[in-house]
Amino acid sequence: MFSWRPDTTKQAVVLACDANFLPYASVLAWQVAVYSGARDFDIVIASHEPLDLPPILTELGVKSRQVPRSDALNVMSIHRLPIAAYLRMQLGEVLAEDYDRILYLDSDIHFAGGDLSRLLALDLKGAVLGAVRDVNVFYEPNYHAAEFKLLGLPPTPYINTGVLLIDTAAFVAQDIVGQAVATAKQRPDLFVYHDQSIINCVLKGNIAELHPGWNWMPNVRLPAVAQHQPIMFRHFITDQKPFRAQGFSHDHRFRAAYVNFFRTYAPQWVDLVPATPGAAPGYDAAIGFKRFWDQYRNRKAINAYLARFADEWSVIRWRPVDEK
Amino acid sequence: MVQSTDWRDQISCTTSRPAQSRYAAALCTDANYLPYALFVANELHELHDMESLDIVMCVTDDCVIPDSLGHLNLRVCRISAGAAFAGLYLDARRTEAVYHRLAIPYLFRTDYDRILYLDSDIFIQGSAFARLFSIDMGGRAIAAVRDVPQWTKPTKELHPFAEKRRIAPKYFNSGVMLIDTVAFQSTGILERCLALGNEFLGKSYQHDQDLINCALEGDWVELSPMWNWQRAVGMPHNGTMLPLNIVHFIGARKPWRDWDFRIAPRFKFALNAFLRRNFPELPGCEIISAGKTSRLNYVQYGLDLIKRSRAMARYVARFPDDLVARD
Repeated sequence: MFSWRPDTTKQAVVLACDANFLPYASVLAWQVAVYSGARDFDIVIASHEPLDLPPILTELGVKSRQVPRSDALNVMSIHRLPIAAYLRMQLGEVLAEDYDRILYLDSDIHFAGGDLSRLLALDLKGAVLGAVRDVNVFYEPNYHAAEFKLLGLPPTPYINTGVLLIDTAAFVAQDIVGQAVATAKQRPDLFVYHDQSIINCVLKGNIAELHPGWNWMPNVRLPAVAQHQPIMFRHFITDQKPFRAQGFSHDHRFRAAYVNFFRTYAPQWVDLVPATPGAAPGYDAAIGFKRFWDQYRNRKAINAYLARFADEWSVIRWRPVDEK
Repeated sequence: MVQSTDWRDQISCTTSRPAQSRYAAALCTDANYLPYALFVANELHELHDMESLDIVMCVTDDCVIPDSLGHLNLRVCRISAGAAFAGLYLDARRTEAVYHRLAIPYLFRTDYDRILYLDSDIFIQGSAFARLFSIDMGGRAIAAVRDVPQWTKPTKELHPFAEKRRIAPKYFNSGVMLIDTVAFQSTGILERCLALGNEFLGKSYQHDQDLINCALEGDWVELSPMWNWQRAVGMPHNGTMLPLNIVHFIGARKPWRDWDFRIAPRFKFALNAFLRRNFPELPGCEIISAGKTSRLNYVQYGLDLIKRSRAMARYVARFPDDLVARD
């Protein structure tokens, strides 16, 4: 195994999780370490609690960082979610002294490979953060998020917060956490999608939009489209995670990636991934046809969305809606 | 003419270190394919679940392995075949190294019980190699996967020397072979391959694959197609829901030679990361950056799912367990 001993770097890929999600975060951290080429950035797993990383991650130079809980964030709704979900909001401040740029990743993400050094250095054109718009935009170009309706705003770019490229200096200067806490206190009705709702309500569309390949969410619905797109990060939104029993509608290779890692590097976690039902899954043309039709009938909206990006390095700068 | 009578005097090798396991995964490459063979070796090193596994890299004299890959602990082997394979059929993309795989079981007959031979144009997705190495081969020398035309047409004639075939039409792809070294020696397969090569000089179009299929006359066991999935280029959507262990890029199109971008970018990302780290002078695989999904792409998706789907379902269903070989 090659070793990684960072000297000084001002950029980091950061994951945030609690002990329950550490196995899945570990797989992603390993994928980032192995499949990002000649890396010149840190990889950090942040948590409110001390975490015991698998030895392979330590060998690869992955760092564990314990972050104290923020009392201010106690106002956030934690319905169904662990408080770790709000940890990402702290990262821009807590890590600002160490890093200029951080790429935050949810733990339910699969990394196929890609040049993350180049992504971390991307020009955000003055925005606090770069992100991919939520999955609805594939089908509804003028998707009007519920939170923006509640705020009385017109249709505005609404991001998914599973992948965030954060300019830490701007994040601190604009007091994004302070604004989020204030918004949460004033409008608790805005918590439609937890932290994602609040971040969107604070930014109000003031974002650098990234190519969807950096946070690809329609993993089950758009296989024909995915075949021809550069997709670096697969984000398993909804409860259908490949490592869960509900996740058998995903391509099998995603499940295999978790099994491979656990079997080779963390055998204590092997049982977390349920066995594939039946010895060999059926060859189901009916499901395939359903997916074919779903993609075909939505093809114009999908193509219109994707055609906005010259390549995966394109950045589309949006301005805050109240400045328009 | 190939002189098969004295091949034992001609085939030899030097190795970088002694064997450290009774099991080995072996690749054969020349300088052209070296980066890609090393990528496969690297993936094997990262993913295999064996307690110990030698990774044997059979190379030609012009191959230089970068120091950055020292952690792989490869057993580097330089094969000298003399005139044993001279004169056998070659196309523009291949050198004599394509026949070296036939010599591996002979060269390592005392070192290893079983050898998993792997082509260099593969992508590893599964890691259950420990169970693969211990499958019951019924005393046969080779366990392999049928060549792709026989997946949906099991009786399709693929043998180039049909008049030499005496038992069964079944024909395997030699890109992934589990080899039992004792059985391979005791049945004299290499001698028969060389004799056939000599007899049908210039008539073989699939190189070693034709020779070994003809030499075995159907006396090999079938592995599940999960171990050598050959539809990733021609029918890319076909196996996505299946638990594939090894994807094999058959034909002229490879992730690093994909002139019309038919191979999914995901196969190129991991290879590019490896090349950036170990072969920075190479350009890497070109990835189409963006673009619309054309009607043709959707049609291909639909065709992948319906074309001979019943026959394909029957074929896949023959292997309820991908770690049980069939006659």
